[in-house]
Amino acid sequence: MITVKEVKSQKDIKEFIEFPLKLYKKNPFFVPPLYSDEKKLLNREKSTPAFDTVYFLCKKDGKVAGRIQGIIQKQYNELHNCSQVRFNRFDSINDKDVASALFKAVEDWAKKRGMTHICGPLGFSDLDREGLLIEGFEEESTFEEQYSFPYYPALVESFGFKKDADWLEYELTLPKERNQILERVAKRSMEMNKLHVADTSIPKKKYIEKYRNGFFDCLDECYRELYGTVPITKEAQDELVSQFMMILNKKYLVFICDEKEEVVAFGMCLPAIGNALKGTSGKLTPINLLRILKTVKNPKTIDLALVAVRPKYQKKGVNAILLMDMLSILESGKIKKFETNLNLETNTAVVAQWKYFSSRQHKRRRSYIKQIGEQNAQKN
Amino acid sequence: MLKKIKEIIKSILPSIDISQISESTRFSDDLCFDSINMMVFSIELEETFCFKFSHPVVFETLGDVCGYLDSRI
Repeated sequence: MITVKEVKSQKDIKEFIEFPLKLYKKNPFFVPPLYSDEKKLLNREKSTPAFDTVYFLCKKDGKVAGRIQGIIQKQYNELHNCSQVRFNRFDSINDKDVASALFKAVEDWAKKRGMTHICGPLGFSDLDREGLLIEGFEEESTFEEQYSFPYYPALVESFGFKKDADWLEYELTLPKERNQILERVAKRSMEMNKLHVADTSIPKKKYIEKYRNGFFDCLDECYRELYGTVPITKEAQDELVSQFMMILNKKYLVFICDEKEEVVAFGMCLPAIGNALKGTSGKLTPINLLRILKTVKNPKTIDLALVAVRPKYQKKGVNAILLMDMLSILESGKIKKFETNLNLETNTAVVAQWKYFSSRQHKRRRSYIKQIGEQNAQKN
Repeated sequence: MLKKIKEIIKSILPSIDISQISESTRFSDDLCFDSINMMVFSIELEETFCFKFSHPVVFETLGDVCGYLDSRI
């Protein structure tokens, strides 16, 4: 017998968080999110001016068999004049009835709230784990992304979901020969644009505090037109800073500033802690904490989290400064590779930059969409 | 002047047929110049025509470059 219930009690929350840990227990590619982050998320307000959210658990014969989250991102719907519900944190055993019951629960919840389309996997913002893995099932996941089994795409597509957007992921290593042009462009771009790289000699906390407003401002300006993105609220900013503070290493967080010390571009890379978390429940036990801190201090791989250049400075060679910084990190010999994480397939300007590295496109993720109600002259 | 500009473009995009390039050719749409190509182009202009940009100029077409150079040199 299949039953679906809304997650309400602490027992439900525990089951919701722990289901993927059990489902992927023996899988070598799955990286859990931090348990404490998930717990905090599930305990927070379900309805705010920015979003409404709901979590469902599915049981088959009394055992947890699947889970799903629904999110009505009100800011996004308002900005884009649409009525979409996002699904995220979808996990299921390979059983069409279980998956169908989960999607039906989110769709019914959304239809009651006037939604006309369901799309995802998409989170509260572009900074959450998003996209369903459709290529690269035998590649390691990063901490910032969700692994899923190869049967997921067929399962989702069987309910009428179609492609809405794809993200490509690349592995970048040091090229055989250094591109001299890039160095020249970076130098001249700094001179012409009167820019400089922010001083990293101050302590990490001060460094982040000093540039955080410029960082989020730059991020919002650069990402506002990209698929699925929303402006980051003050609360979300605080949450993100506290979430990533532990793993941020200022060596890999570059701010490019103008003469007034305004952030005009940045490259935010994170030490890849996926390996340190693999095979754990994501709980910060003393041993896990030690493994993470060791990785943060001496990473072998770097995850490229965010790169942005303000529109005013685009087409002016500023990206060469960031690329040179990435190449210098690889040239140090301590870091073997970068993982780009998700690049929108249509964002050719970003994808084209990887030609300055030895690159391998090894993963692809998809966001799906399906109509669930009548559109009242609204665009979706 | 246009001949020299075409030669610079050829040095950046060796596979391009410069006989197809005219003053109305667009850097982004027709030549697919990216940010780095654009900056290399600016540096080469500076070296070829012996002047310095005080700030970056994003040119739309080759005609814009000719107009700019006419006013500078």
